[in-house]
Amino acid sequence: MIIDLTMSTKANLLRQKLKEFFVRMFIRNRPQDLSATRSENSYFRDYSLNKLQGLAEGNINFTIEMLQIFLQNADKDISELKASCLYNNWERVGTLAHKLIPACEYLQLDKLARFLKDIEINSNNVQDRIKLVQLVDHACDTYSQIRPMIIIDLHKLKKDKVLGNY
Amino acid sequence: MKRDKLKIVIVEDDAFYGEILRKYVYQVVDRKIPEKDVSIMHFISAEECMECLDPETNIFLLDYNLVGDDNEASQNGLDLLKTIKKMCPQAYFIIVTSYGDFSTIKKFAMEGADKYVLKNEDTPIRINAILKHLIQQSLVRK
Repeated sequence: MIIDLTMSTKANLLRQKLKEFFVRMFIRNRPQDLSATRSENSYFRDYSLNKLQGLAEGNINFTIEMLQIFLQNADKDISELKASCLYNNWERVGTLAHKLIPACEYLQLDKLARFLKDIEINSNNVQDRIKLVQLVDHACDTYSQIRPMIIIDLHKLKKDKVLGNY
Repeated sequence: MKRDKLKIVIVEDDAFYGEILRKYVYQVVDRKIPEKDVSIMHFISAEECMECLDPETNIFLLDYNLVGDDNEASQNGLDLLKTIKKMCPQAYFIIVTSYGDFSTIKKFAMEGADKYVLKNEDTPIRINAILKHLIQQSLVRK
């Protein structure tokens, strides 16, 4: 017996979810994306402590504290961003992106901030879910590439503090 | 004669940005008033602010979007402004937010916000100028 599900809402929803799943898998596993990331190296230029250190006016404790707060918040918010995206909670996705933007601007994380702004705009009127999923994936990937650099700087600052090199 | 402390409250749900604001405020205040005569408090939610509210607070810096970590419905900056305005009619209110649309600005103006600052590159300059003026006004009121 052949059942025609083309007009069924459930089937359409299932199809949409499958499409999103495969797009996610495709983005994650696309080899040219990874090589582009490595060779372009552009993520690594989109981060600087200059602005934060300028605001700190030589207070190393302030810079250390701010980096710790940033990592603590961003780790939580980025993982929630991923989860909210998986559950199609676009309102929360938009709220989290909006919340993360100002902090990114202080660490001059321009690329991440750009993705987050796009997520915020697109989440207000979800017309293209696939694009939104891609943007969330890009934002998460960008953060995971920048995070180790922030941790290295944090360790350096802590070491400088102990040695009095500031 | 004992001088009353200048009390400034920041309500910002993002801990990072809240600390940045505290730093800006401190930079302005530090050049005008001795540290012991100033109190700068930072709260991450409207509810936390209401629990510890001092009716003698001079200046409030409020964010608009105050979504809690648990995504529970929380009072936003506008609701908070309405509530605090009744309890601290003498206080000054500075709204610091990323929402720059006219309808949001109008809502805050209607509820009695004194200044509206957008979170962007110019935020430190604007905060600096506004705070200098409002601190002066607060000291005159005392």
